[in-house]
Amino acid sequence: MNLSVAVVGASGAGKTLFCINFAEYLGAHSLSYTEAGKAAGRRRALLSPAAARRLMVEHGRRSNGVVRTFAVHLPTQPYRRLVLIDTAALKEKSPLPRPERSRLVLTLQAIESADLVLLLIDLSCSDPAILEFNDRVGRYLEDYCRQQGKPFLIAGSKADLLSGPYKESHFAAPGFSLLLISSVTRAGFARLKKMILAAPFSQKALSNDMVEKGHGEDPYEQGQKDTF
Amino acid sequence: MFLLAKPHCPPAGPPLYRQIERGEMGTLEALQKLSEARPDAEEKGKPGNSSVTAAALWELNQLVGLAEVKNIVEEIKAYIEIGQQRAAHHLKCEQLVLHMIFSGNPGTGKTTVARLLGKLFRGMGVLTQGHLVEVERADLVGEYIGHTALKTREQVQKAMGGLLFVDEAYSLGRGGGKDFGKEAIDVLVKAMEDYRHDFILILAGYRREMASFLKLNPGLSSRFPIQIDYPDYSVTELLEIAEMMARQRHYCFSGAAKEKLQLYLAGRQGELNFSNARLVRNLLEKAVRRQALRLSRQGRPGREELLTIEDVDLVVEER
Repeated sequence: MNLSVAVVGASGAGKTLFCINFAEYLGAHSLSYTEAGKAAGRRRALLSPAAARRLMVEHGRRSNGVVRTFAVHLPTQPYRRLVLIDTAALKEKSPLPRPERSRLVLTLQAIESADLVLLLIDLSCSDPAILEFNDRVGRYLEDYCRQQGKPFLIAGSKADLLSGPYKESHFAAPGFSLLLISSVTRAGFARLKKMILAAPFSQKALSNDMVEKGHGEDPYEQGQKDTF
Repeated sequence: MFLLAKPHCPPAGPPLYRQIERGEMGTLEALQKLSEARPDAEEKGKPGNSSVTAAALWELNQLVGLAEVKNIVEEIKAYIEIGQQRAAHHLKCEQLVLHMIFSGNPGTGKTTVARLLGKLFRGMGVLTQGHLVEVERADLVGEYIGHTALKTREQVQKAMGGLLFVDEAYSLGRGGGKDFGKEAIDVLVKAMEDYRHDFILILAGYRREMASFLKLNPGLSSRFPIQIDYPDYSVTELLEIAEMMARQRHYCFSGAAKEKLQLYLAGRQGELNFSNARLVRNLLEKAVRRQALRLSRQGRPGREELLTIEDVDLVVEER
């Protein structure tokens, strides 16, 4: 049984690193992934998280414009998987250049097919245009998910890069509460895991099992909250 | 074992995707269009559809408070799931009788929950349609002898496959022995026995009135296996509801507005027939109109100002 999560966000929000590191955090030693996109065609492979980071995240290796699905076999329950859909970056260009159009269609398909939508917001970004873009994306996605009865979460990524305490102005959408995470330090991952596994379609017994056993300590929950 | 992730299918060609491919809309327009699209009625409408159940359950869990309702729904869901497993082992599984009584102050979520239960029970395959027929005394009680039975039966027929929600049901017991309300109750009682698995009857009303109504009709209470009390919301819960309602309308409260609202709600809570979430909704709607008036006099407001409801926009009655 799958629980699929569409990870969406603007360019540079840290979607790919989040998918790889979150999968690793959940206990995945190898990631089976599928890549889809007009430029990429369709590729399938099995990689270790370290190899995936080298291939997809490290400098000069980023390949925007493909939608990847990472399947994580939850170690406590055989044949049960969490599917993280690393979508193509959302870009504010109107009209969209031709190659971006099919990427957007793939991203929308991922949003429609997922059981849960997770919007990643880059907290280190202070460009007002991008903040406003994120804000509008958040509101549209929330409306869509509410109508469909689909869980919707917003996570502020790169929380480790915030020098001072977290301020509302880091996200231009008043009224939303952000879950702060860092894919590098893995802060906030434990809370996010609980929230994701509590979503419909996941097996209740499975979630409880995962939450109770845990996979590593979460610095966020050990008093590092104030550092954000 | 290595399983490959489900690949994404190429677009089946819905109009939205075709418009994007033709370059007729950008990212934000596409997302806006997506957010305005209604769920696929045919897909969502199938009885026994687990995605409908999950979506309705999620919606129910999003509602603030209502622990008792959520527990009962969990129990019913578990019973149905276990029933299916028992059937696979050729064990008997009786269908549940799910007629209910909802009692509580106005604005505590009785009608909202009834609507959700319709969706949920359709998703679980308990009801074939899951629609909600909302009636009150005037829809059931007639003006001359024989008219009441006709009117009530007509409403029961409409509710077949769904839920019949009788709001302010205690009003059927008013007027003494000669009142036609008594006849409506008799017809409803007969229908809930005859068609016990074809529709669900929900009698709803204010707590005190419902208690005396059930006392006056002693046989009635035992026919409703599920009786749910909707307690008043706490001030914190009401604030949470207010923020949720505002967010759904793309508004938010300023710090001062939140404080003002909190003080006002704390003062009003505990009043007889305190209208809970309905009061919050009315306050918000009034505030939205006041904000529009304030901003229209101000010239060209920025995005932040268009989003924010200030304390001056909140009109609260002086108590």
